[in-house]
Amino acid sequence: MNDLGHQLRDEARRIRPQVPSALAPRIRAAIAAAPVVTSSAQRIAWLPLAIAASVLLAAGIAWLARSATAESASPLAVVVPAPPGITDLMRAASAAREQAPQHDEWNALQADLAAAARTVRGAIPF
Amino acid sequence: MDLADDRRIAKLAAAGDAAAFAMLVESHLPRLHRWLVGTGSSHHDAEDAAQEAFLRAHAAIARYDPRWAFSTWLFTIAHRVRIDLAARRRDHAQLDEGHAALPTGDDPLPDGGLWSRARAILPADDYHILWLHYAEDQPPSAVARILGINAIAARVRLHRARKRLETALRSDPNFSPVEALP
Repeated sequence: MNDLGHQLRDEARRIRPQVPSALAPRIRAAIAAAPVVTSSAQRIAWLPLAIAASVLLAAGIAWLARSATAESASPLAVVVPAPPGITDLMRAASAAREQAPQHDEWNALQADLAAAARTVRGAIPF
Repeated sequence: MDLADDRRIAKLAAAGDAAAFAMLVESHLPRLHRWLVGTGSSHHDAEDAAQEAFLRAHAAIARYDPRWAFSTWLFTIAHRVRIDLAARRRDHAQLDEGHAALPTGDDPLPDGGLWSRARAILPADDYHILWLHYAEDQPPSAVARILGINAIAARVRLHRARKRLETALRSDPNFSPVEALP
């Protein structure tokens, strides 16, 4: 015996249990009177629980899938417009060309030339 | 009865074998009762706690995890039973604070021995840890499981309790076993 741990163990071995002789029969009687719970009986309860959990899980996945589809379609329709066709683009381009500043300047030049011609013709007596 | 026997018998008891559970009662009751009395319960309380612990163990035997010794599982249940009984009697503070309570009636600890000194010197929780480890041969991980504490905390508190007891014994010239200490 050369350390405290050994001394504690050694002394504990010498402490005899003082269990009353009636205690063990009393406990056995109490157990016999208690309802019997076996491992197989406890396992049966898991079967309906597992089935219910599976049904709930499947319903949840289906609901999530439906929600995801509905929510992803509507923002795309609003945010991303349909692409324009090539004819629409050409029509817009020609309209823009007609309204370009060069066209206005050309018209103004024509008007100026016509005015000048009228002036010249008015100045000639014949 | 060794650990393998315990596990085999517990398996039989879980399958509904009443005789197997009766064998577990016979083999573990003396140590359980000694632990309850040695760590502060009166004989009457220890009997009630032991009976309640075996009843709970019987009801939950299908959930017994054979990775642990049956005694560890049983002591875990008994520890909770004792806390429940103490709370029911509004005596909880006696278990959790201060020094371990002295048992009423016949004290199983020899007068002037190491364990009676440890009980007088150490806080109740540290004394329980010391008892579970040295008197019941529970490893620190099992002590932690029984008392519902972290395994590292159990190791630290076990070391601290041993050191504290050793220091107290060294400083007491009237205590004869101290002479055997290194």
